[in-house]
Amino acid sequence: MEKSGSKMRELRIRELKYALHLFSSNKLVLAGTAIVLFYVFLAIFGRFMVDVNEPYMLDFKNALKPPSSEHFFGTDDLGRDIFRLIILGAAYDMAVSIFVVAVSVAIGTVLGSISAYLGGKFDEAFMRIVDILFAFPGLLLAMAIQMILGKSLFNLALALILVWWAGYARLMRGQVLAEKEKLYVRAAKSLGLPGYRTLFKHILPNAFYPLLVSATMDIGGVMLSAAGLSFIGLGPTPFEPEWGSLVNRGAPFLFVAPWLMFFPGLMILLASLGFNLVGDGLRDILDPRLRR
Amino acid sequence: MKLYEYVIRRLALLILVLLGVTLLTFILSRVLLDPLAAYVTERTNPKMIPAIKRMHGFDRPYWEQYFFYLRDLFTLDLGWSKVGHMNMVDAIATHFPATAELTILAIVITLIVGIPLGIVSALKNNQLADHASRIFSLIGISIPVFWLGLSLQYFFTYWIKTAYGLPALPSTGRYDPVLAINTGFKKITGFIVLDSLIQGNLIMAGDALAHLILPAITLAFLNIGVITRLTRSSMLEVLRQDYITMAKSYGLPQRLVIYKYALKNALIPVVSVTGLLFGGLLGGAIMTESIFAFPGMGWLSYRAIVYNDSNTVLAYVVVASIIYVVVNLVVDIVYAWLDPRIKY
Amino acid sequence: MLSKILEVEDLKVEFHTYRGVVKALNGVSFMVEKGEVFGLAGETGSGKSVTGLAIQRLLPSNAVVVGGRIMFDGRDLLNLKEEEMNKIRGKEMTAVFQDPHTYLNPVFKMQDQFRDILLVNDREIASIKDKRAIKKAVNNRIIQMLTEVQMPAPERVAKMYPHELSGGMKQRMMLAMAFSLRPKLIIADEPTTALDVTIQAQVLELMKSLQRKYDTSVILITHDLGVIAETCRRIAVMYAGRIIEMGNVDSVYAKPLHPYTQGLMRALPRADKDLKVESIGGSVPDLVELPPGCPFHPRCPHAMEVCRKTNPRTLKIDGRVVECHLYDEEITEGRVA
Repeated sequence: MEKSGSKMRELRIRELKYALHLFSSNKLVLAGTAIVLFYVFLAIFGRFMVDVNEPYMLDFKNALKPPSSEHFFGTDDLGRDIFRLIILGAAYDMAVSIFVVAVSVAIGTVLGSISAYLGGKFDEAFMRIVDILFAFPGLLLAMAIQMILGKSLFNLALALILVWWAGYARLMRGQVLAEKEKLYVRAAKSLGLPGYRTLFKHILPNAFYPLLVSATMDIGGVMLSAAGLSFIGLGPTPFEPEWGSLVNRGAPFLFVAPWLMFFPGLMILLASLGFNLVGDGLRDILDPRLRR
Repeated sequence: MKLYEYVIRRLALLILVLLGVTLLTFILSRVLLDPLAAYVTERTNPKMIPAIKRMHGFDRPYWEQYFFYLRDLFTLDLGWSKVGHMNMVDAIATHFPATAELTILAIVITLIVGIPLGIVSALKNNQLADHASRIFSLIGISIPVFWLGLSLQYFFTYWIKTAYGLPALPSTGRYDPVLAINTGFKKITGFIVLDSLIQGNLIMAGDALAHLILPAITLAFLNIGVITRLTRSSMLEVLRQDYITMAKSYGLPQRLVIYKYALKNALIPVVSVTGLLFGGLLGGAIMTESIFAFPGMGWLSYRAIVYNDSNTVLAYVVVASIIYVVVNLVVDIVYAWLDPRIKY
Repeated sequence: MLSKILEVEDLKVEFHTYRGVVKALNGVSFMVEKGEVFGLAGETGSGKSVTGLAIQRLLPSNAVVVGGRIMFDGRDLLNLKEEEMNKIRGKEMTAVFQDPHTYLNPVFKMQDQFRDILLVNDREIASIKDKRAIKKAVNNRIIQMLTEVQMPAPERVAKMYPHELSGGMKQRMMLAMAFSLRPKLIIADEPTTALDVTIQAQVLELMKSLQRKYDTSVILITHDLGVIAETCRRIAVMYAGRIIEMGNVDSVYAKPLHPYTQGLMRALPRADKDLKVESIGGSVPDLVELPPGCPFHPRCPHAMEVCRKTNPRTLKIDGRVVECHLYDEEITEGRVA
């Protein structure tokens, strides 16, 4: 048993080294990672680079001014500098997206694996519930939940979590069921049922890769959904410079001052693109077939 | 199991799922939300409230309410739509054809653009065209729907006229009402393009299409990326298969091998994904219709959100979910019919 | 003198993989006569399947033919353009593959696949102008061929999908399609390996009778020496991308020359002799980093100094071809007896 353990570790290290090599030679992935790191930087340090009170600095004399050397992205209808608002907004979008995905993954994988492990009637009932959740188009269900919970950014995140966890539950359940099959075959030869500890020792390595790819690309997807919900007015207040709500506020002024909606939306696009590039690249790197 | 037995089994499951959907929305709308909100405003006399409650049955125990809720659903009595200023059922009936026309056109665009792009990417694997389409797809799935809609609207209905002097597309609405009167247009099915073609009214059909094209492209864009990637990977997978080698070994011409032997296999997963994409369209319709003031259910729901009309929002969610489930059932049946290996 | 239908001269094929360049074929030469069943034997990785694919020019995209000639009916196939090669495929050369489960398109009925093959390749059918007459001719031909391969209920089977047929039925189908075009050469790559033993015998018998009837040349690629014994007139044994022994089946089986062939014969359970079944120790060499000298020398019980250094010459002894220093007079003469 000891020998196989260290040999496995050796193999894993070699795999990781090879993966890293592929990673650094893939231009798209590198570009994506650069973008993601840039956004993380903005999210964390934005409040130090720009005055946090910017959303409250109303200046009607300067309203709806086009981009200039003074206001890089122009000003909005309240006279606020859009460039600065965007920098502050990074924290909101990044925080919401990562939070939603992290919690969804946590809840989904735990519930999914429990359900698969327990099997039987419990698993059946659980899958019916998941099926019903899947019957709703995602965005609409989040919308409905938010109508109940109330319109705030936190409730937006909550609503998205309630929609998104089901996908991971299904994914994890599939992985656990597949492993359960294999282990029962082995158990048939030896004695006793496989303990849940061995179950997880074998599942986690296999499930990790597709989960990682899914989660990374989902951060981009959640960001789009969150911005979309904000756009319809379900999220932040006018003083929270989340990018989706910035676009929402800019929509009425489209023909007069298109920069209001353009730049925040562009930021959403680039952030989502960054995560998708990384996730897509990861998928190519981690695909065992493509490696050969 | 034969095909019709499979259909019946799936229909039974569908009813089960729909019951779950109605139960969930019932809980959302009656238990967790205050159902009185649609019928009561600040001006209502507080003494009237118990009477209103009794009238609508809100004072009964929940399981009884659920029964009446289901009965109402069947008799199509869904209550009142605050923002629609009419019965919910009428509101849905009036506004739904627009959304239907829009989503159907969006799916058609997605498939007509996405599938050929995917095939080309697969055939020119790892060459310039492939890399280009890959980046295009990635951008496609990263674009916020609402931003794309606004940008397209700005460019094609305004900028193209002021900067280049070219004719612009209409920015809002479904059709030009003045044109409708002038050309004697009459609504038959509620699908403007269809109705105009039936009446031989080509001008009207053109006008309706001009109004449809921008929102449809907006909705289609995200999905084009998905379909292209899927077609590409599916095609590559199929072209690796042994039966393709076999076909080649019999000297079958390249075009036959790709477009008949490979494509039919490759399109099977595309069919099932298309059903799933439909859900995204129904969600994205809310944003797109509000941007283009396209009078469909999405536009109605948007206003319902702004004015806190949960009834209408939930009505849209229920209707959309039912349609989504039915569409996916149809997709599954088509899938089973296409792939003879499927054991049902 | 019988005439040759195929002559392969010094064929060399390499595969470019992430691990390096795999030298799959290192100078393969043989010829097949008209109407002959030629056996190509070897373990997995010996290069026998690659040879079959190379002849049809159906190698995967990462394969490169780096040398040699493939003379088919007087033409060098390697010089042909793809469209010209495609005209040969099907009309003059067809193939039967190993796993009938993966080699038939799952979404088309059997008759649809068969029909396309006939429409593209059959000259007789191509000359018919009337559409309805074509349809009739095609259907007739399909039923006729299915009956010839002893397919039960041919009309019903033709309308079925591949997954509805058993392995044996699918293989009969492949034979029907392959022979229906009356090709000059059929390349059969492990045609019976995936079948049950009882079905194997039936399908082999079928193949033999069809081959005799249509006087088709067949290259039978397999690792199963028993199958070759039953069906082939001549055999070529491959190892690490080379043919190390070639000759008439009777003489090779009775008196194998090359140590590898001897090992193979010893590994065969024989009904006529009471020999212990022995396996050959060691494993196949790494085709990316081939050791110098004879590729078999690490496993050879008779290995000499020279075997480690130089590759054996291709020697012709009594109608046999063998590549082994043991039979090289220049070498053995140089040694003291």
